[in-house]
Amino acid sequence: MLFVRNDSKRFRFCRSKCHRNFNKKRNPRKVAWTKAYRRTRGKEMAVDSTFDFEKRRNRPVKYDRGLMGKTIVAMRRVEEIQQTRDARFFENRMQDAKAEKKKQARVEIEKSIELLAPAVANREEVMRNVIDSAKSRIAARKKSSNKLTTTPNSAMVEG
Amino acid sequence: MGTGPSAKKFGSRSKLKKYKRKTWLCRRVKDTDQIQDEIEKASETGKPIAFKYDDELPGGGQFYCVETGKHFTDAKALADHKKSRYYKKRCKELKQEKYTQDVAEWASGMTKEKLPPAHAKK
Repeated sequence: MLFVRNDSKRFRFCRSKCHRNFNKKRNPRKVAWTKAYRRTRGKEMAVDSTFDFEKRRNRPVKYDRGLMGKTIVAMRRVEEIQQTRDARFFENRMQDAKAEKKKQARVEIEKSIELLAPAVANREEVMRNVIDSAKSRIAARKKSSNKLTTTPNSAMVEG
Repeated sequence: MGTGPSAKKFGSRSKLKKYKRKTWLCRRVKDTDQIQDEIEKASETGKPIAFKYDDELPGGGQFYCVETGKHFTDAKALADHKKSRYYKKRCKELKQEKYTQDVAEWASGMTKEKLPPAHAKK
């Protein structure tokens, strides 16, 4: 999709989602799903020597079968290297993420403890009720089993 | 619903897409990077952005808001506009770094090859 502004600048969009967001005059640096956002915030690898291989070249090169073969092999290799580096970058980025998340959760709990306290109290009450009812049920069962033990032979047969 | 001045304008409520699209295009306001370019150019040349008297523009083109790219009928309207939320929001946007095609290409990994000029100057 191509949009030509009235100062003759051309804008190519990969999909209508991008076009619509452009029409809303959104800054791609501030929209979290864009590449521009992710790269400027350091969510993705932005500086690397593997990026230097893939470039728009406006100057034609004379056809050379050997060169083409080499290029295709090189492309695969560069892609491989880039993927491993991407994975490593991601791992490095995620190293402290787990600890950080736990820390944030703890802070949040401390902040909103008033919200949680009644719920916890309620839960304790519920648990107490459950325990009491269970105890009474066990007691009732014991009583009934006592009655059964008076006739042990029948119980054995059933068992 | 829809009591604002823009909603009452001709064509804005059209159900036909081609008319709607037309009005939307001709009323399209300037983009942030366009205005940033203008301001940059003005500061480089030292000439403030000004218009010659033009009957067709509101207020003869003498009351122009640079940040939003709008003409006003008189000084009071311009002053009122500069108090508005729209103006302040725009000013904030203009302070941010300019987003150009080069940045977009860098982000998507579509950088250009830098070559020595084919026809070097002698």
